[in-house]
Amino acid sequence: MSWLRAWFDARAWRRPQNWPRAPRPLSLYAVQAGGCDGCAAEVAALREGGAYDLAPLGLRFVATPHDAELLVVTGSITRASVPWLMRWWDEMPMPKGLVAIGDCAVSGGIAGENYATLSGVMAARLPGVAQCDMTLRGCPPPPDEILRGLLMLAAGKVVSA
Amino acid sequence: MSADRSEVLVMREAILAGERIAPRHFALDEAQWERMVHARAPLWFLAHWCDAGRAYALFLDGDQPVMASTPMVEGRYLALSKTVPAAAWSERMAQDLWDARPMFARDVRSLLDMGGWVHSAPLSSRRAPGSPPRACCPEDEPFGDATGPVVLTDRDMTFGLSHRGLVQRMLGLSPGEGLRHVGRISSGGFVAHALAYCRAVEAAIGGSVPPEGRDGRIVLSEIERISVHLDDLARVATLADAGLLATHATLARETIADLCVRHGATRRLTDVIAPEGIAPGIEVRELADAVMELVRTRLPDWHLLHEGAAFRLRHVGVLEATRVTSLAIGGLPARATGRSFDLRQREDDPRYGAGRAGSLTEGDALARGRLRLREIRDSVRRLERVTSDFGVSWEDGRQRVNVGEGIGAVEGARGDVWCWVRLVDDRIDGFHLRDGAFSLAPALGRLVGGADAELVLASFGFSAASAAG
Repeated sequence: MSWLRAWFDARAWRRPQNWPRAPRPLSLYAVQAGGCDGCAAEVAALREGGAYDLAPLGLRFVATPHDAELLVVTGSITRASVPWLMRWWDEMPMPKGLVAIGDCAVSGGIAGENYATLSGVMAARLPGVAQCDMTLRGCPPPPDEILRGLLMLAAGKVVSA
Repeated sequence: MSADRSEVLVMREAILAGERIAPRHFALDEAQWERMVHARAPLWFLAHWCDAGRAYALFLDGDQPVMASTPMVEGRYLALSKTVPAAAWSERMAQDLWDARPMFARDVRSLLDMGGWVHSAPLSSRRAPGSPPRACCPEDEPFGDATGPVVLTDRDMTFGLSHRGLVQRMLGLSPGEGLRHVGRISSGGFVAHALAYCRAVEAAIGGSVPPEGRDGRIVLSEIERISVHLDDLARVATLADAGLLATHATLARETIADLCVRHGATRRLTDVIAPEGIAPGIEVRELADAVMELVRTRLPDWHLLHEGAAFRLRHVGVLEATRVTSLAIGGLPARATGRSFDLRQREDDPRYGAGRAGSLTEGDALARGRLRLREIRDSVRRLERVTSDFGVSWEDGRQRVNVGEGIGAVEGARGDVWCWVRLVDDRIDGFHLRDGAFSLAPALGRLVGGADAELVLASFGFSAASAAG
């Protein structure tokens, strides 16, 4: 009985889903290049635990870059992580895009550029990337804003907020 | 270099034999440092670091920190790890950052520098051009969705990919400017790290905060503890296929984030600690009331659901008591393995009750989860006591003088946080922060092999960013 009540409670406490369905499905591969985990935690709040139900919206986080259309990068871009960002980017099938979540991934954030970090994901010079398809500032940006940006991106808009 | 065994001192005496240059800091010459390294009855190791000219070591003497330092001779000093194994990773870090050369060190492999840095030994006057980034080998692929990227090589888990140059950024800043950097080390300690730093600065300048600020900090610390424990429970539940527990923990965590915003704080409690206490505009008592009501309502369900996942967590990631002792591990992972130490016991707060969480002895993921739930319950009790007596003042009898350097400590959700700050002309001249993750990391390499690696890491609440700085 208690288990049943816990199940109903989880349904009752879940946030209302007032988001529009994405015009086209998106598959996302999320990586944390460095950073404080803050943005990664907000992305995790979006994709795990059931606070948000992404499947009906057409958004799907995938386990490998081979299945992804978008590379979602959070955190400071540490110089040591650049070869791995390159590799994951190379492993993604075409067409593909780049999403930077949070101040650090967008422009270096509080760490800025120093001996160990770069001034954002564009400084990693991923092959063929002229600009990010979505940049979302914030330290960290909340999951609602991340979701709103992804839905706009799915609608074909270049998102810069 | 060898000590005459007939003159071997206990470590405490060996440290106190030095010149006292701050209330808890003793400067040792080369011979005194050697006697300390070879001393009997070593104190509980907390941290070790270097700067341009000195090597430092921080220990726990009873329930008080005590610090020793010694000048380095051409970058060399006698390695602490010769007799204190827990210091080995700190020495690796000191080599990477300062080009310090610990003689007779147990391990001289690089810890933070994984290639790609502009300079090697970037904080040293002898810095040189850095090495190129390491090529990507499949066996070295970073993992750790929840922890930040870590690399496992030959049962050695390293976290250099997360290093962001915190110490270099801190040096030369004013204490106020430094607070924002410290408050962004890791999401598991946005409050704890900032608070440890503020306490260190206050110890250095002889400052204090008014009672309302002191109690506001306690409230925010306990709310962070509840939130981070819920985050860790949710992550473990997700990886253990305990979906309903993951949903409950995530929804509660998100509700607390919403409550924080509603009452004037930020979702993840960034920038809420201020030099005068807490940031203005936070309705801290109302926030505490709302969080207490939420947790009281839902805690029984979390216990029920967690026990339902027990079969998946039992015997997973067992941390042995001998490792806790040899590596001087603290925080919740140590309390789940039998060590009872909790830094809140030494806080200046007569209202603090030890709670009933206590410690467990199994050392596995199940024990750590159970302890998280008990500590959430105890955090609510502490919030009750503090909010019912909010802002009361008492005489603590401490002398507050400007001594130029200080040590601050906080029991964060994921372990004990120790911060040392030295100020010269109101600028940061020396800085070190040791998160509990740094002590924990050397133990994890042996535990995270195999399919359960992510689950094991999540069950410890490990954060690469906290360890890497």
